[in-house]
Amino acid sequence: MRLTRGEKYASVLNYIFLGAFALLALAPFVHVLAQSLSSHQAITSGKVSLWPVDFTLESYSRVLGEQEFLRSFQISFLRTVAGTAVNVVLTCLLAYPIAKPYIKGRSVIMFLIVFSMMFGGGMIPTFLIVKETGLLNTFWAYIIPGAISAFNVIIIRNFFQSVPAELEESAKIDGGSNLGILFRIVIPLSMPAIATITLFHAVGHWNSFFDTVLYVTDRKLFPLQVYLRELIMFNQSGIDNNSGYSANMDSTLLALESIKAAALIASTVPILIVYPFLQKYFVKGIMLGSVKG
Amino acid sequence: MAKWKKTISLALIAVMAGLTACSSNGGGGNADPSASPSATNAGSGNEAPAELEKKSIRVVFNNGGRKFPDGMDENNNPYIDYIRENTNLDITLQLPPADGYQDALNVIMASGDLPDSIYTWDASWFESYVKQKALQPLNEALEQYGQDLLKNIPEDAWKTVTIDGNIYAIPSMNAVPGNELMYVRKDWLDHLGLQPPKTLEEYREVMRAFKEDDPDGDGQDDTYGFIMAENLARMAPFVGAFGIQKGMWTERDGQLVNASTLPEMKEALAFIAGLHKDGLIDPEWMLNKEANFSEKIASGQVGLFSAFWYDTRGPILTSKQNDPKAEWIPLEFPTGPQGKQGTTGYGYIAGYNVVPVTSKNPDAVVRMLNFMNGEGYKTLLLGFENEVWKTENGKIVTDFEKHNEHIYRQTLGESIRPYGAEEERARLDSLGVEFKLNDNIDRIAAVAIRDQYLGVPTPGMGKHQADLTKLETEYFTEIIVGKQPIEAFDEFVAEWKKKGGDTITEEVNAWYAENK
Amino acid sequence: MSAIDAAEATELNLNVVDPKKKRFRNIRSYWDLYLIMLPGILYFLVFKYLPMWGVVIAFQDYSVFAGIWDSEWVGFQHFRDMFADDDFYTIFRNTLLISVYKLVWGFPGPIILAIMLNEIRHMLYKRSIQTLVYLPHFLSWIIVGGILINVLSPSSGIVNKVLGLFGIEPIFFLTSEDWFRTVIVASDIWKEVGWGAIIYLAAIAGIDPQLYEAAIVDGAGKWKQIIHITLPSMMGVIVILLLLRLGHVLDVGFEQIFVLYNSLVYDVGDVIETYVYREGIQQAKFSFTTAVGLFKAVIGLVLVALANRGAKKLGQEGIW
Repeated sequence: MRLTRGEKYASVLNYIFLGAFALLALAPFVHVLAQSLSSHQAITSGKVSLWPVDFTLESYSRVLGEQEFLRSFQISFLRTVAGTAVNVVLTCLLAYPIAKPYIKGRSVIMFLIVFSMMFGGGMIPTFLIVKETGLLNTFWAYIIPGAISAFNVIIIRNFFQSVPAELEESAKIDGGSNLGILFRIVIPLSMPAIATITLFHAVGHWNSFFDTVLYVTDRKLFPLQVYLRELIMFNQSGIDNNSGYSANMDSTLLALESIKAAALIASTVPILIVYPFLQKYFVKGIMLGSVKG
Repeated sequence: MAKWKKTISLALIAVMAGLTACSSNGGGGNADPSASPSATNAGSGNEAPAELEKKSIRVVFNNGGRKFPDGMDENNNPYIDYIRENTNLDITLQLPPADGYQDALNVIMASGDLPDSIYTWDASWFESYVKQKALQPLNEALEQYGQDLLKNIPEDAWKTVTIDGNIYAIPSMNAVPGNELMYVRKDWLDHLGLQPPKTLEEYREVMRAFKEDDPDGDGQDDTYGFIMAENLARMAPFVGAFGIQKGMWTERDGQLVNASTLPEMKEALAFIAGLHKDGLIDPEWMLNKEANFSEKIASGQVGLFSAFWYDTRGPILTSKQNDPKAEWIPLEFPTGPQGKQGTTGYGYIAGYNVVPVTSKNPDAVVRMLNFMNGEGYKTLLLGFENEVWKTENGKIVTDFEKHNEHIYRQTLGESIRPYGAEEERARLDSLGVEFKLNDNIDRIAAVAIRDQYLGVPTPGMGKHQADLTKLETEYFTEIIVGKQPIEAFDEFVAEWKKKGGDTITEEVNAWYAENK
Repeated sequence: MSAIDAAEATELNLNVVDPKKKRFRNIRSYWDLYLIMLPGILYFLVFKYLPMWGVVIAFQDYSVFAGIWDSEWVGFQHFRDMFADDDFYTIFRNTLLISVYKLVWGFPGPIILAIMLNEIRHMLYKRSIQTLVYLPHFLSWIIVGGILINVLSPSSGIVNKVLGLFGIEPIFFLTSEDWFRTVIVASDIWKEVGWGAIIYLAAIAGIDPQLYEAAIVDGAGKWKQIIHITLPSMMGVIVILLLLRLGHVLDVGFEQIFVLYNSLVYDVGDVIETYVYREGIQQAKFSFTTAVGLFKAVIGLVLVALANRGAKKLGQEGIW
């Protein structure tokens, strides 16, 4: 492929601009990473920017060292895997029929889905439903009340709609069943979109903590985010809590700032790893021809 | 109509209270002495627990993020067993996540499956559920089983939880009288040949010198005279020099008025605005969050600030680690033109233990709290003797490793802390006398200005307080940075009154008329 | 097999079959598709629509303890309170302004980024850039806020130091009413643009490469390919996201504003979410909070409905 001179310049500029922007996006992360490896003294004196000062692994040993870390990590991992699987399967099953013009009532269903995005009953009515369904204090409270996201249904439906109708028709003529077409043609062709919502849901599950506050009191079911928030709260100085003085007064002088940083790294890195695995679905286009055969 | 409703609910409460009394009467068989309302020995602490009826209760506390050692949890550890054994109660604890605790309480209240006791730190929450008639009065149970509580919690604190003669909560006390006192770098004073300041003018001179005369001797203009933090934090001692504290209710001619609207506040603002105008305060003070604030102190940009009493373990310590020459000393509170001194004093109450109306065991809740607050408090605060701490030469020596391992016990102690307990001092000293924690607290206690309104938040506060606080912060900040002239203060007062301040003042004075 | 054949046959003879039979045929041919929708529909009914009675508390003086049946009805009182508040119009204006700025400047951002990324040929470079630009999404506003305060500091911040090289006086970005909204919008774009681009990358990945090959044969340059192939292929997703975005036009992101604003910029920075936080959530006023939420939702729904109709007129799919 030959590029014109203008296109070459544009291409070089594009490389440079994106590179610069990526560095700008990376910098705060490096800053947090450096903090997590620095001493409390160095951080609170403002000495740490992009490189650790007084290198130490102490905050990691505090964050990762407790039995509760492992347990809560397991819970988070399980809910992310199981929850995301449920999300993606249910989303696809709901989105496919309403992408098809021959399914009756689909626009009513779509409207109901969009409507539910804007009007909600709020915290307490939802809590009461979760209670009535017997999900309180079970692992399922993490999975079922958030089983489908309206936003993602709409997105996936849109991608399903853009699969050329001729492909499905020819498959039908070849004797494919409705579900067969969904699983053998539509889903493989929509992998970039499915990878996207997989990522959205996985990140959502991994980061969520409020459903624990509302639905779960059993500490054995607390996920990583709750563990880390409690760890930080415990070490927080008492500036904005009313309890007279904070728990921190009692511990030996803890490295709050570096613990916060280490907690962020420990909780973010596992979920960041998901992206490169899904990335192969984004980087190059899908050959329609390859599916047809 | 409202009155009618009130009568009915009072009647209901009376019936409830009667029922509970009956149940404690009938259930125990041979429990006669404890059930008798006039029992003199009940709950005094020297009674053998076995004589009290065995009951099961469910209790919600806030654990503040503390961890349990491996293999233990909130219902399976020696400290909860210690309470169970000494009260003959079967206690089940529930500890919602510390972050989001109040939300968890609201869903617990809505669930219809209520525990026997709930801890909250939020006065508005408490007030709102009293208003909704969701909580039961504890007067009777307290009289019967709460002798230690009645002794350890001061009269003024009980006032705060008493509504129409009914006690709706058992409060946990604040351990400290207030937060802020002035600290200065003595090495800077010495370097510049200055004496520790006392009056506002002397303070001003020190700030000027710290700003302009290169106190750290590095030949660079890299220091400030003073530093404050966002939302007008860390300026209490200067306001106190005018005899008041921002936002607190204070008596003038037999009536309570809000100190933020007094002429003294205007004078205080004029003083601080003058400092800002002369460039003596860190010009970015209104953006300083806790982290930036500490950073500027630790890195030697500031040598004078209003410290929290435990900052000697925080930024002041870091500053010393960074610069071995740094020597910090506490100062006398600045004295104003009328010879006054002052700093923000805390209210008495740190939290409320409430009993929902659905509970049949208010007596058992009081028994538990009475033990935790009285006889058991020392152990819950310090840990088991000879395991976590021991007495050597009349002083408490703490084994810090054990202390941290047993840290979860403090959830229990903190939930029902008595007022001014001796053990608190011993504990603070055991953290290191070099931090002068008790000394700092004593200095604060000497001049702390307390809010004279002790009631629960009024309806008017619920409606307007947040707006009024915002209005105040906005005006005061603009006046200090010179965006508005000091005369704008009068505008602020007029607007404050109009936007609900007058309503609140009336409500507060209605309370004051009954309770002074 | 025969069922499907029959279905095919009926599709061809639509006009002659009577409607009832038609519906029956339709269900018979696609019964499996109707069936797989059921779990999803059931989910929405149980977890979204059953709790929706909760919105009635906007018209009550709701007490958690009394519950929905015994709470006092107050009609439109909370709405009247909201509109009667002197500050409400300032707050509404600020919300709308910040939201519109975020929409105008922020919405195209991820689209442009996705297209730019798509033009990178070097695979490793492309993948690394992609991974890096979405990192800021994982930082909380509290952390970003702390960094911003340092970076934008008039005395020591790098931004003002760079501006100083060009002889520009230090700017008080966060305490200046002129700059505050700009900082809010710009930092939001920086933080979310990489994350937002993912969905467009997915759309681009779905484009048939044969289209580009054909365009190249026709002699179309890069620029023309973007205009005539890439953008049109993304249009469906762009329209849907824009519609959904309009539904949340009054949500500007509480955490960001809350972390970054201060008493000198209340006049330009106070938004509905900070207002609700102050008036409602801090004091557990469920009814008031719900009323404000309802107000926001109604405005959102009206906008989405209008835009949906507009999109259909312009030949796009629309949401429903």
